[in-house]
Amino acid sequence: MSEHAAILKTDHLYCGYGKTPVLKDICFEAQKGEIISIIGPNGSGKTTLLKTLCGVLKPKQGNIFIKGEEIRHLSRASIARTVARVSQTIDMPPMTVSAYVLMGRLPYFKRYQFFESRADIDKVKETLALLGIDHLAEKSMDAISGGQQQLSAIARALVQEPDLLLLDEPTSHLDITHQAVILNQIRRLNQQFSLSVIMVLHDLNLASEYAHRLILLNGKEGEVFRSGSPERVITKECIETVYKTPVIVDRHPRSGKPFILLDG
Amino acid sequence: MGRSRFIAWAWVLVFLLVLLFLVCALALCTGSAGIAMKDIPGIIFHGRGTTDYNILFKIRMPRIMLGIATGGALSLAGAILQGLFRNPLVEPYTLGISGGASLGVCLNILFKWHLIIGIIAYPLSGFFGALAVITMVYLISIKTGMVKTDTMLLTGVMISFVCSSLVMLLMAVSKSDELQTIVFWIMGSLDETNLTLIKICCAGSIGGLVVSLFFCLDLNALALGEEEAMNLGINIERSKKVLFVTASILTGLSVSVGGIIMFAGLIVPHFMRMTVGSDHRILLLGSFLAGSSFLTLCDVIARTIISPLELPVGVITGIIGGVVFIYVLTRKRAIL
Repeated sequence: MSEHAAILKTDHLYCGYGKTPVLKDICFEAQKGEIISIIGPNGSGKTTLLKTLCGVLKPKQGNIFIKGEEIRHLSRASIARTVARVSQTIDMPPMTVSAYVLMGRLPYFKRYQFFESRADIDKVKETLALLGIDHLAEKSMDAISGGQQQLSAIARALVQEPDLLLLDEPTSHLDITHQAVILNQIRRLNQQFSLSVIMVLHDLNLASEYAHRLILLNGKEGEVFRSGSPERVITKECIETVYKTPVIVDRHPRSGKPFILLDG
Repeated sequence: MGRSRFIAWAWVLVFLLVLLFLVCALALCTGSAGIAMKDIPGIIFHGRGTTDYNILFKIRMPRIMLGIATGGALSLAGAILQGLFRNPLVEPYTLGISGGASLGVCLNILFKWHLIIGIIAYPLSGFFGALAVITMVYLISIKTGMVKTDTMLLTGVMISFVCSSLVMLLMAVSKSDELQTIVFWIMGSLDETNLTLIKICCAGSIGGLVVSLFFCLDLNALALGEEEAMNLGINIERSKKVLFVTASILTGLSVSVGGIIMFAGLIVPHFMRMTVGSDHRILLLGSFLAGSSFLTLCDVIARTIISPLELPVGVITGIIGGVVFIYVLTRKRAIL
């Protein structure tokens, strides 16, 4: 893997489950230290795209390059050391938060290594502290709140020491306090460690506020409608065409980023 | 986390080994020959050649070995399958693996293959029956692309029904002496005198344990879901294949020797999970040891409860297992 190549690059990527691809001809690059948000209506293939990017689904056509290397030539473990994904629904296993987070070290285990090392445990402790959930370490995963579960899942992804973090609707089902907590943490990680992030967000205003770049998918056609800065993508014309709903677009008084309101 | 947990695991293993040793000692002492417990050490060390020595080493010892091997194998297969399916109610029977194995053994009894290729025909036919079922289930479910566990479970239940119907068909067309052999074998008994068969069974279950231990971390990751496990760098397709074959070898072996012994594969891993947690690094080994003790103990009960007659051990495991299972379910809701 080359250090200078883009963290992730897709080349005319087609992806989906059955015969007909859900997404067609996707081309984009994610550079180091970039936050990209994928937006689009329900069923436009946002989750499918994330799954394909981390190797869970095989591309139907086209190619994905991770640090310049074709994804099909990489082992699952080496993908996992570069790209970590937090999925939308987390199946809560009956284990403690620290045991759950420790699973993120599995890609670093040697072939016949069955027990975690001191360094692995320290990494887990450090990451829990970084996200401010070290007090939950010995709590059971199914006994903590939704926001805390999301933070634990992010912690699990971070101990994989990835260059790229994929998040699938990290703020769904959370109140605004936890939405802000999670997204501010992600922004901080991005600034502190220049971690690249690709996240699927439903809330266009959050996407506009937190992402450097947006990729807008248009529902049925399964193609990229427009991508670029929030100012370029969140426009009245774009959103109304893709979402087929009248909206008002204005600017956030403090950040200057565009935001939208439903219009009727 | 860390050191204290490993120490706790070590204590669990020590406890289970001591338990197994005690149960074995108990099994060695009980029987219709009426050898007093205090005489046993003397017989073991100085009684070579006497009748009592022969009873201990030619009759009781092989039976204990078989109890350890089949009990361990069934519980281990249950633990592996429960991990793979993330479902605490899965065991070799729910997947149709033991249905396939019993169909294989019934065919063997009916066509008398063991007269042609020797005693190894029993475990072989059991293993091939189990493997045929698991291959079929696997092939049916990968038609959709990826191995989906819920499809597999449904297919397994259906195949299990088909197999038991076929066994009934075989029983209906068989002669009365064959019928008796099949019925007695189906009820499950550890009364096996063939030493080769016992050795095969022991070697197979130890082998299965060793192989499955290499995949304990994969099973841990699979607890988070298949896609999550992939994200953690686990080659889940390969792990699943190896584990399914291992589980069918374990099941095929124990079914071919001991017949259908219900609940060992369900209840033992379940109890282990409640006591030591769901980490497969301890769960697999723990289930194996606890299963060995459980079946050996059940066999002791089966041998003594209506002595001098013997009950099939499957009856005992079925009753104890079922009652305890229901009791536990009603007392403690969230288990997995």
